[in-house]
Amino acid sequence: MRFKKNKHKVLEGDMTPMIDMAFQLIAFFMLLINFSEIEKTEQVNLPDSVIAQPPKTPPEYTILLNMDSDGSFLLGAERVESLDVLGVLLSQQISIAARSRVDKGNINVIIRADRDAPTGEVRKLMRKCQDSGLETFSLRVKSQVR
Amino acid sequence: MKFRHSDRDKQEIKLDMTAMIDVVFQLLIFFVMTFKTPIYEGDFGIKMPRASNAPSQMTETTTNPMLVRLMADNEGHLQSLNIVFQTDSINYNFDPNNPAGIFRALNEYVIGIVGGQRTPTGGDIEAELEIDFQLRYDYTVKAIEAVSGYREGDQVVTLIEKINFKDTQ
Repeated sequence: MRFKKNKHKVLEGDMTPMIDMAFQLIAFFMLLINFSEIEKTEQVNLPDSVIAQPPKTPPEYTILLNMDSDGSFLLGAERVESLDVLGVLLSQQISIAARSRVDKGNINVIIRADRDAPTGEVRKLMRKCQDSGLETFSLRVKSQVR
Repeated sequence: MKFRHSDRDKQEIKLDMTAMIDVVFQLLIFFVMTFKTPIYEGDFGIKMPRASNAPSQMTETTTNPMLVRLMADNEGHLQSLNIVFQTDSINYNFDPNNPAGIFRALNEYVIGIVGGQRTPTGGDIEAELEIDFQLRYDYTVKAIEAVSGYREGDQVVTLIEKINFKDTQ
């Protein structure tokens, strides 16, 4: 009786489709990653609205203010200790805008306040901006409009 | 001249893919973990110059100010809402079982006014919000929404565009 000798070969699966797929997934997630989200702080839970819509034309210059539920606030992603410090920072922002030939009146102050923040604290922020000569505000909410 | 044919030429060159696949999967895991579903955000635009800087901008053009007062309890929840417009002074109390009801009532009142019966155009009316300091911002936004407009199918109908805050002490 004759026995066939089995040669011991290493079986190698074709990895090409898997690598293709992995690269496609990476490309997908890379395209979707939004770095501007960094400015939106995690702890701000915005109120909902069914009628608020994103602005049709982007404003010339924006200043982003975030407010937590306890009334503490951030300019962009930078925590600001007091309203006096905010006043100084706002003046700096206005100077930067002026260098880009943007008038104070065209600077849009975006306020992202937590739904549980006291309205009085939000008003304090707005008043400080008004003191600096800013007058256009956008109260940002979570939009239910698609 | 004699060429030597070595066996090496016939061999397939195999690249070791392991390291690359490792890196690819690490990148994939990074992107999957940091991925966040996008949240759509909208704005309520408010033009509010400092009264001393531009005294005439709001008051000159506004002939019909509507005062909406929002009163809060100690915990910052809405307690009652008061509308003062022309000869009207209407009070609504907040019902925790129907939290949207008070804002629907405000919205219907504004629709009744801007609808043409009381003023020629809604654009002439300015809504002034007088809000208790401790009132939670969510209620404020709901009041702004009720005064600003309403949704009809896919369309947003605008009611009052000029919204201002009245300072409370």
